[in-house]
Amino acid sequence: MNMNTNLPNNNSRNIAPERIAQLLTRAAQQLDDNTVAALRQARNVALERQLVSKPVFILSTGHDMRWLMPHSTHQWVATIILFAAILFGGVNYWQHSQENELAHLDVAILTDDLPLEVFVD
Amino acid sequence: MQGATKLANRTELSQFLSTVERRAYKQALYAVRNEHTALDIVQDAMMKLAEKYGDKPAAELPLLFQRILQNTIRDYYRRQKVKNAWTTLFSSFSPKNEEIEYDPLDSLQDEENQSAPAAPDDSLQQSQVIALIEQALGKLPARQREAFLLRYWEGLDTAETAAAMGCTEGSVKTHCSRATHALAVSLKEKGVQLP
Amino acid sequence: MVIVFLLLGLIGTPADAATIFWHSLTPAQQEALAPLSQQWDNLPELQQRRLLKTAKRYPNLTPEQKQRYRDRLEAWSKLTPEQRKAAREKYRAFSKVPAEKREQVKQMIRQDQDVKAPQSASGIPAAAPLPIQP
Repeated sequence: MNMNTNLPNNNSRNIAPERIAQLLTRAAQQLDDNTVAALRQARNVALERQLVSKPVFILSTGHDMRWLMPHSTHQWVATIILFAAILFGGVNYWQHSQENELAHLDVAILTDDLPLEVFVD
Repeated sequence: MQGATKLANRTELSQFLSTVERRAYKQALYAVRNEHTALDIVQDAMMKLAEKYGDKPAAELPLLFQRILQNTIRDYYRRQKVKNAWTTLFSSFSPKNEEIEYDPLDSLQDEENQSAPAAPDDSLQQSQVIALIEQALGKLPARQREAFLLRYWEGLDTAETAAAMGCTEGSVKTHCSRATHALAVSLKEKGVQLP
Repeated sequence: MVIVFLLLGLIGTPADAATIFWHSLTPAQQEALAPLSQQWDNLPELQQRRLLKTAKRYPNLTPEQKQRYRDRLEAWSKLTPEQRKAAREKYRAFSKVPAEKREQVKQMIRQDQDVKAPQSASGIPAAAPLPIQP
């Protein structure tokens, strides 16, 4: 039985790592049926994905959104004017103050004594 | 033992995963002490291996997988800590030692006694020893446990272990010797003698 | 329909929509944002403007804060906009919690520092053939 010779004195008191490994293997062989089944399933799911290299994004052309869009010229014009009014009116001011608060937050996150991952999933 | 130029096909990947999955699960379990999380980790690691390295030569799969597994365990472990922190943040209790969480490693002793298959040489005593070893493993610092398991259970050599852990070979040796020593101390305290 | 979308696009876009090139930044800005010098020109314009706003505050940071700022810049800029948004909300919530509780939680998170990830995670080294597992 090999003993771990890296340790200083007390060699005789150390339990051989290989023996521990044997027992761990024994424990692994005794996993309950549910766990074994779950592992097999995990294996199969992974195998399903073996040949898929990169995900393919299918772009929506927006055609299926037609039912939402205005149907007549009159409606078109009204929609455009409405959009314009709302956007011009509110956007700029709102953006400006939002951006300042954002910058304040960003600096805080980037310099806090807690690491980034605490705030990022 | 060449054939390293031949890329792994589905059978080879399947075979590899089936040989490593139980140990991978246990490794994760020792680290995160939660059966569902451990399963998630294994699933995650297997998928990453298959998706990113499924076309690598079969001989490269074991080390690649170990590296992915260790990183995944580490990620989950840290995420768990952060999640616990956030839960504490918005709870009305102070954290202290209020956790009465179910620790699968603590109750292993009972489980082994009840569900262990009746192999001829399988004694009650051995099951108890196994339970104690697993408990002791769970208490090791993460890096020590990682190094110990990779080196002695997965059978990687020092260089491979270092690659899987992302540290130097010197660190691996230090972690291993400390882990072995800590385990020995732990088991001796519980009166365990191994032949 | 195309015209509507074009129009909306124009309305939503502020006057200065052009990429801000790295070479046009002031030395002070470049110092603060140095970790991003490689990828700067490829960043979306909105992200650039936001980063520049944070860079404005850089000179007033303590040396320790400056270090953290520069350490985290790359990871921060690699997040998706949704992740950054979520992070800001989390930080907002965190700031509203009483200081004592915040400190408690900080202690919890700082525990067990040996679980830190190893430094080099770039690429997997070539593997040697492994011994047969029992």
